[in-house]
Amino acid sequence: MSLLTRPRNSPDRPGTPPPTGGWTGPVIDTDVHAQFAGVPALWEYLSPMWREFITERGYHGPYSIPTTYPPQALSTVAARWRRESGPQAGSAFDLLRTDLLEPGSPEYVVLNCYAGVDSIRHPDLAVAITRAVNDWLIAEWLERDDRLRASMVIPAHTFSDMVAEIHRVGSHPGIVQVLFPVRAQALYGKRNWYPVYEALLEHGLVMGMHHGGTSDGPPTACGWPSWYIEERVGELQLYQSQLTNIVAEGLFQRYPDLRMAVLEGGFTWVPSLMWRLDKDWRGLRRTVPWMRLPPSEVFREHLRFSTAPINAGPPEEMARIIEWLGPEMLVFASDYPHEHGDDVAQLLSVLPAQSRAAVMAETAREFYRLG
Amino acid sequence: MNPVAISLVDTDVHNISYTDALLPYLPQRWAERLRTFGVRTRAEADVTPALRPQAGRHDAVPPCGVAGGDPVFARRQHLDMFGVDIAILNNIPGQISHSGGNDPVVFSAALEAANNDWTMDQWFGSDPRWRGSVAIQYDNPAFAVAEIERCRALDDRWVQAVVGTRTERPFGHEKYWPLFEALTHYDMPLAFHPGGSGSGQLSGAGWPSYYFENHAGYQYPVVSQVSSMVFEGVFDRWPTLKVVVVEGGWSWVAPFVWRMESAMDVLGSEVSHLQRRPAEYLAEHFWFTTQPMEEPTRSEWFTGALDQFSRLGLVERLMFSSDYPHWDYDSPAEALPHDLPTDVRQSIMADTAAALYGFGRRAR
Repeated sequence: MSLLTRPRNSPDRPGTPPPTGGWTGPVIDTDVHAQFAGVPALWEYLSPMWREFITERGYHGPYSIPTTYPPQALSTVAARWRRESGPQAGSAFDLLRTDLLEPGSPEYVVLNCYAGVDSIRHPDLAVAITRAVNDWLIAEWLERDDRLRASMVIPAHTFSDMVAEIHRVGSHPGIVQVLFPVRAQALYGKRNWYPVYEALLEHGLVMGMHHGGTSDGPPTACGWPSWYIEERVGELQLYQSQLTNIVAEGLFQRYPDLRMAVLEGGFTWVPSLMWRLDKDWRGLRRTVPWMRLPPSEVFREHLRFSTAPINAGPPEEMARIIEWLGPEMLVFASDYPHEHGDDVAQLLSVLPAQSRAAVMAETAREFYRLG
Repeated sequence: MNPVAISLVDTDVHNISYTDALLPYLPQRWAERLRTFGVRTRAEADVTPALRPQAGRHDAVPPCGVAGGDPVFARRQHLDMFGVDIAILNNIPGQISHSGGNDPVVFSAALEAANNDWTMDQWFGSDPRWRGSVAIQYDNPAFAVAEIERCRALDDRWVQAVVGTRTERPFGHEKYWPLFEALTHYDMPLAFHPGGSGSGQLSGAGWPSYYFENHAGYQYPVVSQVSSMVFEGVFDRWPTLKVVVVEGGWSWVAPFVWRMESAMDVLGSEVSHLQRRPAEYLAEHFWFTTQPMEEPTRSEWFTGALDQFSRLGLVERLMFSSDYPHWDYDSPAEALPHDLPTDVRQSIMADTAAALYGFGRRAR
């Protein structure tokens, strides 16, 4: 019963090495967080009209940011990156440089901002905040360092506004991806989303499905969870539902060039899901005849999973998971500054030697078309 | 005549009630309501239609026209053909559309009682091999507890209560605690089976489009249910509570346990009420059934998947199920890989279920 006696990972202490597990080759970090510190951080990217709107109402910004990442929770900012006062890790480029870029020298990092605009129901405010976040990402991050790339965000409820925003900033050379929170108003394979995918394909962008978001109703099929940890681990069912819908609707057959990154969702559960989908494809293929390939083949061609959180089991079990999944499906991510207790050294030790460079950099380089 | 060991237990066979079958068991007022308004609770079959009526096998439709509607037909086609010693019935309408939602609770209560009376009368009454899961209005625990008490007073062949995987709240919520009190009182397991009371959506991000998604996704809400029961501390309050996940798969369990364990390492202080680790709750309180059997991409990976599951402490926690009369039925003769060791096979096909439910030896 090694699992039960396994010592609890102690959260990393300040000053420990960058979270690349001692890997000395090239690193491309596919999930690094940029998180604006409330509406004031966006102030200069908002028009006078929206500043007045926000001031009059005492609006604090999207409520789903603190419910998705409670600021004081250890999972939101790891102990080793937590400051006693002042701006927190993730909120400013200078902190990222100190915490991650200088000690680890990653070749590229992909910045993801969970903007929470999905929790804004006022359609025009949602657009204003979205635009401000993208302009903030470009001005205060992308233009500061050539190693940075970013996911742009889109308003989550009005399809035409999503398309317009992609056309507004999607061709910026630093923008490589559009972020889609895993919780959403509708499953991402649905036909209403097609114009959004056509827009991002026009700009050569990746679809990045990431933890967080707001559903039209509870974020599970059985009502509202109670505890944060309960909801957090249970987010798995949303990733499963989204991927099932996306393959069932034939999204990748309609858009053969569409690439999708699955971020901050883990990956150890993916072999089991692929087995289940393949089995049902054999049994129910006549009900979804446009699914010409087994879902696992669609996964292999179009999807990549970030390594964080690793959610590691015992090393021998992780080795099995890697064999079943295929290491070519993984792209390294630190998920800075979040804390999952990830042990990247252990992950590297169970990866086949010839796959380590691919997981740490090369697969992401090709997937995101990074130089 | 010496009794012999039970060699085949089927932990998931469906009896499927229909209006004409239930009418004799309903009070006049509710019989009239059923005839006039029908059942208004949304059933998933109406949202994502299955590939066949009742998702039934083509050859499993008896003269009444409803697969799973005729106990003698089911006995001949399944129990007799394969020598099933004991089979547990999960009544589909009793667990889905009759369990409440867009109907008056008193009507749903009458429907559940009628379903259970029909099962006792027509199924238990026709063959000693049938056992049953009490069909309950699980989102109204007071009604559910009363129905469990009523059924247990009438027949001890009720061996557990069945709950749809999609409930109004995740099942560790305080709302459901009276149910755990009653189940542990009778030492009856709680069985989760795919389905729902028609209260919520089929996913946490809205409705899927196709039956393929509904069917492939049977395990997804179980993730929420397990997470809820673990982190709400249900198993500290009811240390003898047993949970059976029916038709929910099992190869996902190990990665999910690691996911919970990793989260505990970082966020455990939020749930300081817990007395144990998530992995311990899983190992002590959960059982799983086989159908639809896991089929890894390469058949040789099956052994590894089963080993991974067993190493969680879930040795002897897997129980054969056929899902008769559904289209994705697993035959007792074909469900398990043929190269599985005899003792493992025996454990899955009979011994684990016999131990869990207290099934004894049978007369020869």
